[in-house]
Amino acid sequence: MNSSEIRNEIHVFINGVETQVSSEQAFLPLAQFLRSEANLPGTKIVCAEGDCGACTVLVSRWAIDGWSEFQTLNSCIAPVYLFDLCSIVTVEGLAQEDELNEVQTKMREHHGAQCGYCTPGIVCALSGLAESCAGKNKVLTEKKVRNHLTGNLCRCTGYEPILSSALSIDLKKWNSLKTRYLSTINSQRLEILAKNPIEIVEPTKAAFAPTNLQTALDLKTQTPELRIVAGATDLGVLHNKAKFFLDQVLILNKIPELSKIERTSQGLWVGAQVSLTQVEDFCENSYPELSRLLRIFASPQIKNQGTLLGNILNGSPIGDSLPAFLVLEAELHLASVRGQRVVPLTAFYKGYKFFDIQPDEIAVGLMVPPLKDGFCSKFYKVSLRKDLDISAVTFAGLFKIENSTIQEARIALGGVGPTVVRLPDLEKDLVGSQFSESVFANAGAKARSLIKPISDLRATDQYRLQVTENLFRKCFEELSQEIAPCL
Amino acid sequence: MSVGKNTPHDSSRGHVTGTSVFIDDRPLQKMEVFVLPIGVPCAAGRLKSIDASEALKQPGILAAFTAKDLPHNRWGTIVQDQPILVDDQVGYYDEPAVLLVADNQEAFLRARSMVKIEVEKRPAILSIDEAIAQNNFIYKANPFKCGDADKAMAEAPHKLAGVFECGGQEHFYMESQACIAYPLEDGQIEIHASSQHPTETQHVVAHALGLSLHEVVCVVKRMGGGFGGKESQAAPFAAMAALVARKLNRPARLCLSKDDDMMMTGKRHPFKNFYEVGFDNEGRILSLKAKLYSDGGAYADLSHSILDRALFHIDGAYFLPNAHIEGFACRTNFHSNTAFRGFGGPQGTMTIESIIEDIASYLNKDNLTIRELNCYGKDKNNVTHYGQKLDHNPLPDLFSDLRIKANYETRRKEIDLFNATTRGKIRGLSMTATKFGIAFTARFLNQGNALVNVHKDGTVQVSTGATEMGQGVNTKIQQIVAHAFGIPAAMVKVMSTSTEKNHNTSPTAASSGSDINGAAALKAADGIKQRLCWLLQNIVAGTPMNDIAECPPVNTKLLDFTDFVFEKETIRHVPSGKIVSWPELVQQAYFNRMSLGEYAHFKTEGLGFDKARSIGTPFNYFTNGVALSEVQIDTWTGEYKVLRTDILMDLGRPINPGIDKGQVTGAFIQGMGWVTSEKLFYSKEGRLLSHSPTTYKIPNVQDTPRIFNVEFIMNNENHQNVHRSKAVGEPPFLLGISVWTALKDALRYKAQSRIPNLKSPATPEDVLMELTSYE
Repeated sequence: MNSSEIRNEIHVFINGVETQVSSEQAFLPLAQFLRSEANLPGTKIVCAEGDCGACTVLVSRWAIDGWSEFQTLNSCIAPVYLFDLCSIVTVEGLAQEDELNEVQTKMREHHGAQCGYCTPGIVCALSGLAESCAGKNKVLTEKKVRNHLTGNLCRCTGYEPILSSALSIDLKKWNSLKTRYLSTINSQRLEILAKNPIEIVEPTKAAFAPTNLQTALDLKTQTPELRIVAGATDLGVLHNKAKFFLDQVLILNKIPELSKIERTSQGLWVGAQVSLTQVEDFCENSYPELSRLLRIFASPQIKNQGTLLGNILNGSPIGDSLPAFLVLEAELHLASVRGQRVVPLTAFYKGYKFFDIQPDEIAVGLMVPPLKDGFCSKFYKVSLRKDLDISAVTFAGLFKIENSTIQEARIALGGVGPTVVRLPDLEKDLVGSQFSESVFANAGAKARSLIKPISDLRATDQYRLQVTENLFRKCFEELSQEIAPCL
Repeated sequence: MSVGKNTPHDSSRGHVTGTSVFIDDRPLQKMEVFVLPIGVPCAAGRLKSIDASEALKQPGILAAFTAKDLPHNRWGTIVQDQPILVDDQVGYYDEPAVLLVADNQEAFLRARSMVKIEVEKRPAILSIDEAIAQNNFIYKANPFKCGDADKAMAEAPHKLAGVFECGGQEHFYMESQACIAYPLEDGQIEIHASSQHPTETQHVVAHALGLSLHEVVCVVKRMGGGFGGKESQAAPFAAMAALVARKLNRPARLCLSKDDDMMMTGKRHPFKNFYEVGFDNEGRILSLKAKLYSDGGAYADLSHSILDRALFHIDGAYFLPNAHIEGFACRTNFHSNTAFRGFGGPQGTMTIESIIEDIASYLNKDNLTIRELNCYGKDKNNVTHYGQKLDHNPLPDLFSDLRIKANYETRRKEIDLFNATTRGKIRGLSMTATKFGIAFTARFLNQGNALVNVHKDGTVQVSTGATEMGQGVNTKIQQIVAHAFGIPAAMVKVMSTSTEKNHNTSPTAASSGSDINGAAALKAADGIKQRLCWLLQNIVAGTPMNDIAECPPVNTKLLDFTDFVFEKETIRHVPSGKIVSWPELVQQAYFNRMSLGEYAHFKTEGLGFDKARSIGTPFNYFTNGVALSEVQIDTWTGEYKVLRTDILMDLGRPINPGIDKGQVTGAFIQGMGWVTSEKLFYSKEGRLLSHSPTTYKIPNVQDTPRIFNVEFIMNNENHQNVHRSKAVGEPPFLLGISVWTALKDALRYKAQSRIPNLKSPATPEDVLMELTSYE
C-alpha cells in the first residue's frame, strides 16, 4: 500500500495482535467492539457515558515521532474509527501466561476486588499509572493514585482496599507494556499507513480521516453536516443515549499540524487535536491556576481523550474551562476554504449552544495571550461532588492589584445563564476600587443581580445565586492571603 | 487451618484478569435475541394503547410483546400486586410496558423512540405528605410500645419535637439487572440471572409463564454487585426474558442499560419521621414517641419488612425506657422501593442519632457525652424496646475505646480553636454507633441448605443457596469447608448457585448469607467426616475390608468425633496415632461404597417474635460498631470533605478478616454517600432525572476520608453463630451516618442558639443554605 492511497479500514493492535476493522464495525464504540467482536469481554460497559471507568483500556498512539505513552481512556464512548494506528491493551492483555502483573497481584492480595465488575477498569487504570511511573522512575504516592483513579467508580470496596493495593505496588517488579507491546511493531510500515487518508463509507454511515487540513476543509465545504469528532467524549455519549447519531463524521487526528501545543510570541497555542491532559501538563508551571482547574475538570480517561477545543466548541454554559479562557481573553482560530478568521472567545458564545461559527468552518486552534506581570487569578468550580462532576457554578477572576488598588479586573461565570458570561459592568466598577473585603462583597451582591440562573437537577437558582455572591468573598479571602502576584 | 485466614476472594484471579464471567459476558448463542423493556410516559393513570408497528419495520427488530402475552402478570414477594408489564393502571413513570426484541443491540438505539405508548394521565402521588393526606398506605405496622411513653413525656424536664427526613438511594450495582433465558426441551426454561434470590426468580418465572416450579431452573454464578437491589427485583426481568425465550423458542438476553435500570427499579425507601423526645437536664432520654413514614413506591415489594426493621432500629445504640413507635409504609407513584443494605435499619437509627445531636445542641453539651449517657448498658438498661436482651453488650466499651484511640478530647479542643479562628471553614466531629440485629425478621427465611461433594482425588465441590455478589460469601464457605476437612482452601470450589441443587433457598440478604449457608455447609461436611472417621476407626481396629467384606454401617454410638483430627490433608486417629492422608481415606471410602456427598439443612434456633404485641427475640445476635468522623465545610460554597474517620467494630471472630474489612470500608462509604452526595432528583411529573453517574453521584476515590482507620475488637462470645463469627454486610453501612452528624456538629458552631436543621442527603447546597439562614 502506498502513502497516497485511501484506506477503507482501521489498523489497530489489540493486546499485540494487529487487527483491521472496516465497514459497520468501525463505527462501534470500542468497548462494544472489544466485547462482541474481539472476544474480549473483560472490558465492562456500565454507564456508557464515560463516567464510571469500568470500560477503561490503555491506548498508545503512533505518530511520526513514535509511540505515545500508554494512556487510559473510556472505551465505551469512543468509536473504533478514532483508533487508527493505536495499540490497545485491555485487562486480558496484562497478565503474561498465568503470571499476574504486579498490579493484579496486589489487587488480589489486598482484596482490591469484591464483585469484580469495576475491577478490569481499575486494574487497567493502575497499570497505566505503574507503566508511567516505572518508565520515569517516579514513585507512586497516594495523591497520584487518587488522582489517577478519579474516573473509576467502585461501589463495593469504599476504595480503601484499592488504595492499599496500589500503594503496595513494587515498581521494580513492573514489566513494561511498552517493551512488550510496542517494540515489536515495524515502524516503517506504520509510517506508510500514517500517510493514508481513511474513508469508510457505508450505506447510511461515513467516516473521513484526511491527512491534511486542505482536504478536511474541502470535505467540510462539500458536506457541511459532517460532524467533526475529536475525542467523542460528548458526542459518543449522545450517540449511546440515542440523542444524536454519529453517522457522518470528519476526523482530524491524522493532520499533524492540529496536534501542536506551543508557546509562541502571541501566547499559548493549543491545536484542535490537543487533549486536555496535554494542556494540563503544559500549563503546570506557566499557568498553575489553570492547570489546577483542569485537575478537577474531569477524569484522566476523559482528559486523555477529550480535547480542549472540543470543550470550548461544545460551548455548554457549564463547560468547566470556559470562564477561565474568557478572562484570559483567548481567541479562536477558524478556518474554511474561504480563509482563516480569528474570533475572540468573548464574542463567540451568542446564545444557548449558538456560536459564531459557520457550517463550513473548522476550528483549528485556540490562542491564549500571555499575561503581563502583576496579574493574579482565581478559578473555582462548585459541584455536588468535588471531582468527576459537572459544575453547578464556575467562576474565573483575573485581577491586577497595585498598592491595594484594583488596576484591572476580568470576571467570568458559568452555570448562571444560557451561556458563560463576562461581567463588563462589574469589571468597570471594580477598576480603581480598593482591594478590600467590602468591595468584593458588594461586587458579589451586584453579580447576583446581574445573572438569572435556572433551577435544575444540579442546583437550585437560589444556591447558584448565593454561591456566586460568596465566591467573590472567597476570592478576596484567598487573594489577600497570597497577594503577591501569582501568575 | 483455613478459618480466620486472610484468604483472597475465590474469584479474585478471574476478577483481576477480566476472565470472571458475568451474565452479559456469556458467549452469544446462535439465534440468541436481545430484549429491551420500554416504560410508560407517566407516573399515574391508565395504559390506553401500545403501537410498536413502526419499530417492527426497522432492521433487526424481530418482535414486540406486552402484558397480553403473559399467562400471569402479577408478582410480589409479600403481596402479589405488581405487574411484570403494565396492563392497565400505571404505577410509576417508566414502568415497563412493552418488550422489544432484536437480533442486535444497535437496533434498539434507533427503534426505541418509534414505540408509541398512549396513556390517560391521572394526578400522581409524589411525596410522603401527599400519601399521608390521602391515607394511601401499603402497610401499617403494629406499634412498638415499652414503658409509659405518654406519662414519661409529660414528666420530662425537656422536650423536643421535630421531623427527620432522609432520601432514597440508588443501589448503583455496577452490573445492571441482567439475565438470559434458555428454552430447554419439554417446555422447560433455564434462567441465568444476576439475582440475590434464585428461588424467587424461579418462582416468578414459573408463575408468569404458567409453568410448575420443577420446569424452571435458575442459576446464579455471580453478580456485579447487589446491595439488596437484586433481592426481589431481579425476578420480573427474568420473567420478561423467559417470556421472549418461550415465545420465540430462542435464547433471550435482557441486560438493562444503567439509565433504564435506574429509572425502572426500586431504591432505598425515603423516610419522613415525626418525633417527640423527652429528656432530663443531663440529656438522658426518658421517652420517645415517633411515627415513621416510609415511601414504598407504587407496590408492596418488601416494604412491610423494611418498615419493621426501621422500627426495630429506632433505638440505635441507646436505651429507651419509654417508647411508643408507629410505622406506616406509604403508597406513592414512584418505582417500587425495595431492599437496600440496612433494610430500614439506617432510616431508623439515623433518626435517633439526629435526635441526639439536637439534644446536645439544645443542652449545649458535647454530643459524645450524650451518646455515652444513653448507650445500652452491660448489666442494666440492656433490654430493647421490643424486649430482646443484649447479651455480652460491647457498646459501652466500643464508645469509650474509640474515644481514647481516636484522641477525642484533644481533637474536640482543636476544632473549637479552629472554628473560632478560621475564616471560610468550619469543622465538626461526631461519633455514631451501629447495633444491627442479625436474622431475617420473617422467621421462616432463617433456613438454608448445602450440598457438599467430595471427589475421588480429594477435591471438594460445595453448593449452597448463597449467591456471590462480591461480599465473599463463597470464599467464607470455601474456608469453612476446607477447615472442616483439614485441606487447603484451593481444594474446595464453591459452585454456581442453582435451584437444581439447592431448593427453597432464602435470598442472600439480611447479612445472613455466610451465617446460614456457612452453617449448612459445615453441617454437610460434618456428615461426610463422620463416615470417614468411622472408616478410619475400622481401619485402626483391623476390620476386614477386602473383596469379600466391607466397612460396616456407621454406628454413631461407637464413634467419638474428638478422637479424630483433620489437618494438613491428613486424618489422625488420636488414640492410636494412626495417620491417613486425605485422598487415601477418600479413596478407601469410595471402595467401601460409603457416600462422599452430603446434603444438610440448617435453621437458626431461638427466634420468636410476637407481632401482635411487638415483643420477643427477633434476632439471633447483634453486630456492633462505632465510627468517629471529622468533617470540614467551606462556608462560602457549602462544599465539604471528610478529614478523618475511625471505625471500631465487633465482628466476633471473623472467618476472613480481610474480606470483613472490605465489607466495613465499602459499607461505610456507601452509607456516607447516602447521607451526602447521593441525591435522587425527579421531575415535577415524577420521572427520575438523575438516572446515570453524570447526575447521580456515588462517592469516588477523592471523597473517602483522608485518614481512614478500621479496627476490630476481640470478641469470642458469639457462640450462636458459625465459628463464632458475626455477620458484616449491612451493620457498618449505618456508620456512614457519622459523616452527616459531624456536618450537623459543625453547623452548631455557626448556628448560635439555634438547633441546626438538616435533611439527608446533606448536599453542599443544603449545607450552604442552612449556613446562610444563620446570617
